[in-house]
Parts: sequence; structure tokens; C-alpha cells
Amino acid sequence: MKKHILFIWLFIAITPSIIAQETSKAKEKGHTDQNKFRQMYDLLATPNSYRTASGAPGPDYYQQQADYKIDIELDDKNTKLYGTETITYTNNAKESLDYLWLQLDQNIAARTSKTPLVDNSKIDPSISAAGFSRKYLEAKFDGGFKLDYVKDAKGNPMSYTVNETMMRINLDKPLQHGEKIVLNIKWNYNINNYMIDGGRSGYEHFKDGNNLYILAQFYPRMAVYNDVEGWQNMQFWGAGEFALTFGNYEVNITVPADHIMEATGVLQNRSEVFTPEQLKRYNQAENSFDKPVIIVTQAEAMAAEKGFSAKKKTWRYKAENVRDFAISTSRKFIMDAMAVQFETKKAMAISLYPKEGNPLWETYSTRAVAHTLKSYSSHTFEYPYPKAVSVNAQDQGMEYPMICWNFGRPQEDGTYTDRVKYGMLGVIIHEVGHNYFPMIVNSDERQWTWMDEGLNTFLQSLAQATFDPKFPIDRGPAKNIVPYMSGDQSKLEPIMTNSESISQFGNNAYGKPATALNILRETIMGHDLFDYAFKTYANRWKFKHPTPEDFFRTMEDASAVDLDWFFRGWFYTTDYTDIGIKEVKQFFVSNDPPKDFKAPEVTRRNRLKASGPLVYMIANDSPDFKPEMNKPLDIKSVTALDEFIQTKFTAEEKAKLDSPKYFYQVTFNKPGGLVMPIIVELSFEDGTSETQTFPAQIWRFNDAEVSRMFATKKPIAKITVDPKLETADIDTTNNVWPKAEVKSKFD
Amino acid sequence: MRKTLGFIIIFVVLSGFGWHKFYVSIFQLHHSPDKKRLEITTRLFVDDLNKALQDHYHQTTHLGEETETAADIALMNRYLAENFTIEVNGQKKSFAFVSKELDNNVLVGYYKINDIPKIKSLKILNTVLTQTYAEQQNMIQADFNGKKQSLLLTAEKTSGVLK
Repeated sequence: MKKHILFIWLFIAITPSIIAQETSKAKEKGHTDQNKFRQMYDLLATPNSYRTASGAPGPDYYQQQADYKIDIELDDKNTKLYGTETITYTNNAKESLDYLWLQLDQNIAARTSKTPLVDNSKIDPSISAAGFSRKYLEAKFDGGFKLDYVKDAKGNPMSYTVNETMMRINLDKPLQHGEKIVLNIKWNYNINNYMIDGGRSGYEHFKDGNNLYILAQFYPRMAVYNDVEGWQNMQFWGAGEFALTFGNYEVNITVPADHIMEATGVLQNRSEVFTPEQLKRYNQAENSFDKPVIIVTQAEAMAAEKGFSAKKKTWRYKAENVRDFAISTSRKFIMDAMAVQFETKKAMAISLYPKEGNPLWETYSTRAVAHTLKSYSSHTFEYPYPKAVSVNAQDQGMEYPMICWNFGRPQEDGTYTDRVKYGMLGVIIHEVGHNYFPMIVNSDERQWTWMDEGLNTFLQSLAQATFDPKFPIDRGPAKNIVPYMSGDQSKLEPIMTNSESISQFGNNAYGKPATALNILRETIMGHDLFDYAFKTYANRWKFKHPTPEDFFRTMEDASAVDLDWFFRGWFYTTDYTDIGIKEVKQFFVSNDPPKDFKAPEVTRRNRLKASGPLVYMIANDSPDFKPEMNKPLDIKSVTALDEFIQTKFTAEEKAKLDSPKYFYQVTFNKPGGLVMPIIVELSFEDGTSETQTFPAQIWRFNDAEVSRMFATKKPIAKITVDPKLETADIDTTNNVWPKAEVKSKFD
Repeated sequence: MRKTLGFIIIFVVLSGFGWHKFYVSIFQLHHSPDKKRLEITTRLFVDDLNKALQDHYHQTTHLGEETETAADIALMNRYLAENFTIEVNGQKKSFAFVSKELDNNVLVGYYKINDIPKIKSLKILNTVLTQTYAEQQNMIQADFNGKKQSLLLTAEKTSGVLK
């Protein structure tokens, strides 16, 4: 049977090209393989022993290690931070390193920063006095690291060169494979008020005189060296986030004695920084799996925020196998926490918020953290860190290992709209979710924003749907990306575009890849194949540095679903989906040959179809069509067919024969550049319907137009392409036959 | 104060975010030569719209809720007429409200301007929500004479011309 189908295919495929050759006169140019299903050899890096063709790390895969011991002190009065650190860097690459690169991210806020200089600026026709003053008169914020020294293990000064946000340590002799080097660095910087000067860290100043600090990128950090980029030392311009090396941290943080703090890692001296009462409540929280326990109460926080203690306290943290470290501290903080049980271990879900965040935060934050960890773990791996903290920081949404900053506050009177509530829940789920991508599955954000944002936004949409069935899900469902993908092409870039060159960041790096994954799971692969492959990717690359190729290859390698066409179209182009119905013809089976019919010559190839008594298929638009033909097939009235059946089959066999009554030929066209499956809903006159799906590969011989025949028992009243809007089809007016009087919304 | 906030926002946008707040409205303008009219679809977050009406007219509205009234819709249309103006071929035209519906938490409004056989230019002035949210972005997607074009309007750039 399969052989015959193949023959027919060959016939169909070859015939038109022969005709084309005979009729065309102008000589055409040749071309390379432009088939949308060609494999991605032209786009993907060649696999090697570091990264295999299966998408897994290869036998020679390595990554560097950077361990930190950091002491910092916060000067709350002057909003300044002082630090010293000892970095122990291990070179696991087989090659030696002539120099080392460190990241000085704070320098983006230095007065000499080039970031403001690469933006277009025009004169505002009108501007507020305050705005004018800020723009033209006032001194710019004096940000950026002020380095006191860089010394080696013995305390001797090391030679270094600062290039904007990057610092090169000039080594006396190359660092060999397996060798460690120790760097001692001392620095300080002015902390930015992020509400005025922007940034992913800094402080928020309250009317009561207090500051709420969210400290990150606060220390010189090792850049990533790997087999793909060498040193990833692309400057920090602002949009492309971070590429960071894994390591172990010991961090001592000295702050005013009345502050409450959370940070990456495990607190080593809780009894020194908590009151006995708070300690007791924390112990209760460690065993509370169903609801949060308040550890620092609102009353305690309100008392503390009036204090402005001149005394100091040091909080000591240790963190293992993290790529970064962040801190949040303020005397305004209320704290609550609960425990989350996983299969083999448990973790703490914790929230920190000022009273201005209540009643919203005490009601939702910690529960959302716990839910996120459970939901994400079910799609990836058991959450390996001991805790996840959600901090309420106005206007922020930013992730670090085990801790993140999230916006969302009620009005002053404590009321809030659904938008504020779901906005806050959405950002908490999103930022806590970033623990998986990119904190643990540590992709290079400086190069590819979508690798963490897209995957994370996809998992976020799954977690939101299970948190609350009424959760409005903006990014993920196919139809929501249509306004973006159908937009002006000059404002679109492929997903595979460097983080700094994306014009619609949210749509390109978050929304579109999340939608693509959603479509893979719901429509192309199905839950089982997708979930296994996605989990394989997460587990292969947890605590490692994956590239886009590793993701694309794993998804295909673990599922046996050819996805080159999908990744090529969705990730490497700005093409969109638009599939329509061009034409529908109904056919009737007849005894009588059409006029001018010439029986085809019977050959070895067509003998099964063309020899013996023939029956004829007459289209409803052909001159041979007569009104009396317009009725369901009754085999008895088609003599040749009836005789064949009577002689060929026994009564028992006849009972098993199918009995189609209506025959249709549907031609689908594809104005859109993306190839996608054709999902066809046949609605019958009796009100029932059935859906048939033709894989995307149906477009492999003709990217513009394909046909299918449908033999049905009931007359078709309506045919709809993509009835559930699952392919992001940008124009659904051509999706329906008979061409619906598109009821214009404007009549 | 609001303008200052506007400034801050430019900076924040410039320095990027781990999470993008969705202060984006979409205004789709489609010209139908057959029906000789300009069809306008507005997509605005319904919460934001209620807040803007509160800020602007000091009236509490319940758009998108069960308690929504005809007066709420009228106020929304007045707000849009005051903050979204369209000049077709150099002439200011007012648009007529056709209908509206709720899609998730987005209020989708349908409006039209009749008697437009041909468009040579469209001038858009849009301050919808920009005084309520300094970081508001209004995406104008126009489709006329067989050409798709877009404009991104903000508190700083409130108008633009499409040809």
C-alpha cells in the first residue's frame, strides 16, 4: 500500500515541473535548496566534543568556577556601599588564559558611561521645569565603581585595564588548565535611587525617610569564559542582561542594626540578627506547608522604621553553586515564610515587603512563590536551592538566585484593582521562575534574551493557569501574538537577534518565544513528547551554560519530531502564519464519462487506478455536471462500482466497507511565510463536526498551495481552518468556507 | 511631577527590565476603500481605562464589570475623543462609536469614520493614558493603500503622520 502512495506522490511531484519546462521560454536561474523543511545545517554551529549533535554537553564540556568571599558595608545615611572581595578563579579550560575579564556593571551609571550616548535624542517641544532642570542643569548622578585596589594572593598590586563596564586583569604568566588564581579587590560606589536614575538595583526612598535597598551587580564579577564565546565581554549597554560563572559564595553584610534582610544563600547567624520571638516564628514557618507564618510583623516593622539606629549588625550568608548574589535590606521590612515540600527535599518560600505593600503582599506573595516552585519543578527538575524570596520593590521586576524584586502595591487606602493584583502575581511568578532559567539553566543573557525570558514566560503561563483559572494570560496563547507578528515588518526582528538590537523587547524576547513553545506543546508535539524533551533540556543543562543550538537539538533529539522547519521559521525569520481556503469543489460519482474523455493509457504505474471499468468524478462546476447528480452517493446507481463490489466481496466483507456519500476537494493557500499544520474543522449540515489535522510537512512540495479530498457520510455545511486559533494565523477572514459574509464589526 | 516621571521612564526603558510591564495600548486603523471608511479598533486595558477616567473626570466608572452603565461608555468615548484625534488628508475627523467587547482584561472598542474614499495622509495625536501612566506606550498600526505602517506614541512623542 505504501508503495502505491509513493508512486502517486512521485507522479504528482514530477508532472508539473515537466510541464513548466516545456512551456517556459525565458531561461531561469537555478537556486540552492530553499525548501522550508531543509535541515538547519546552514544556521547551526557544527557540533563538537564540547556540545554534541544530540544537544547534550559533550565529553569535553567544561565550565569555569568563580568562588567569592565578600565583605560589604552599607552606609545608609549617604546611600553608599563599601566592599572587599576575594575571588578564587579556577581555569577548567584545556587552554591557558593570558588575561581575565571581570564585569563592572555599576559603570553603566558612571558619568563617563557611553550608554546614554547611543540613544537618539530630540528636543522636546514642551518640557516641565523639573524635567528641564534635570535634563539640562543638574549634575548627573555620580555612579560607577570606584576601585581602591586589585591585588594578588600575596597582596601585591595587579595590573588591570578598565574598558567601560569590563575590567581586564593583566596576568604576569598565563593561567594554566586546572590552576587557580586569587584576586583581592576593594571598591565602593554611590547607590542609585532607581526611581530617578533607573537600573535593576539601587534603592527606593520613602517619605518617612527610610530607604528600601535592592542591591545587585554590587561587586566586580567574573565574566564567563567558554567554548562558544571565549570571554563573553560584550559591554553592558543595558538591555542584554548577564552572563555569569557558577561558584560558591560567603558574604558578610553589615547594615544598620534595625534592618531586616534577605539575600542569596543560607543565613549563618540567624540567632544574632533575629529577636528570640522572630526566631521562634521562623522555626514555625519551616514546618508550615499550607500557609505562610509572619516572622517580622507589621507592628515590628512600623516600630523599626522610626528608629534610624546608629548601631550595626552583620548578616552572614553562604550560597553554593550560584551564578550571582543579591541582597535586599531595609528597616521597613515585614517578613513571612512557609515551607514547600518536594519529592526528596523541602525549600522555604519567603516574602519581604514594606507596609505599603499590604494587604496585597501578606495575602498573595509567599503563596505565589510556593506555587511557582511546585509548578516549575514539575516541568523541569526538583528545585535545588534551599529557598526563594520575593521582595516588594516599586517598579522593579528583576531576578537573582534565590531572590527577586517585584512591583505591585495597593492604593494608599489599601484597595487594589484586579490589574494590580494579577500584575503583582504575574511578576512574582515570572521572577521566581527565573531561578530555573537562567539562574540554574545558565544561558547567556547578554547574547540571547529569549533563552531565559522566552522559556520562563512559557512556564509562567502554565503556572498562572494553575494558580488561578481566571488568571489573564497575556503571553503564551497563540492568538495574543497576532498583533505583533502581523505588524509593520520594518519594526520586527527574528527572535534570534542579539539582546541589544531588539526594538520590541517584550513581544520579541518574551511573547513570541513563549507562544512558539506553547504551540509546540499544544499543537505540534503534544504534551507527552514536548514535556519529555523540555525536561531533558532542563536536566541536561542545569548548572551549565547552554546555547540556542543545545535547546533546538535537544527538543528534536528527545522527541523524534523534526522541528528544523519550526525553529527556522519561528526563531530565525519574521514570517507569520496565514493559511486560508482558496477553493472547495464538490464531486459526484457518475457512470458516464465526461464529454471528450479519453481513457488514460494503462501503464505499469497506474494500472490499479486506470484499468478495468471506470467510474467518473464530476465536479459541481464542470460542464458535465447536471442538477440531478446533486445527491449522496448510492452505489447501486453506479453500475461499474456496484458490479465490482458484488463480485469482489463476500457479504461479510461488504458489511465492513466504508460508505462515504459526499466528496469534496479543498484547496488551501498560504499567504504567510511560516509553514504550519493545517487544522481543518468540517461542520456538517446536521450540526455535528469533526477536526482533521494535516502535519506541516504537507507544504513540502508546494509552499503556496495544497489540496486535500474529503469523503464524508454527511454533507458539509462549513469548513474552518484553525478553528481554535492555535497557530497564530494573522488573517482569519480567509479561514472559512463558504466565505462567510464576514460580519464586519463596523457595520 | 508627571513629566519628571516621564523622564525617569525613558531612563528605565533604556536600562531595561527583567520583566516588562504591559503599559501598551494598540490602536488599529484600517481603511476600507469599498466601504469608503476608516475602521478603528482600540485595545486598552480596562483597569487602566477606569483609572484614567477617574483621574480625568473624577468619576468612578465600572467599564468591563457587571455594573457598567451607558454613562460609563459615554464617558469613555468622550475621553477617547479628547485624547485621540485623527486628521485625514489634513482635516480633523471625529469617529463614531460602533460597539465594544471585553477580551481577557482588554477592552476592545470599534469606531468608524465614514465617507473616506481615499487616504493620502493620516495625522494621529494620541495622549490616551499617558497622563495616568507616564510609561504608557500607544502603538498605532495603520493599514491603508495596501501598506502596513506603525507609530509608537508616548508621553514624550504624542503625535505622528503616516503617508
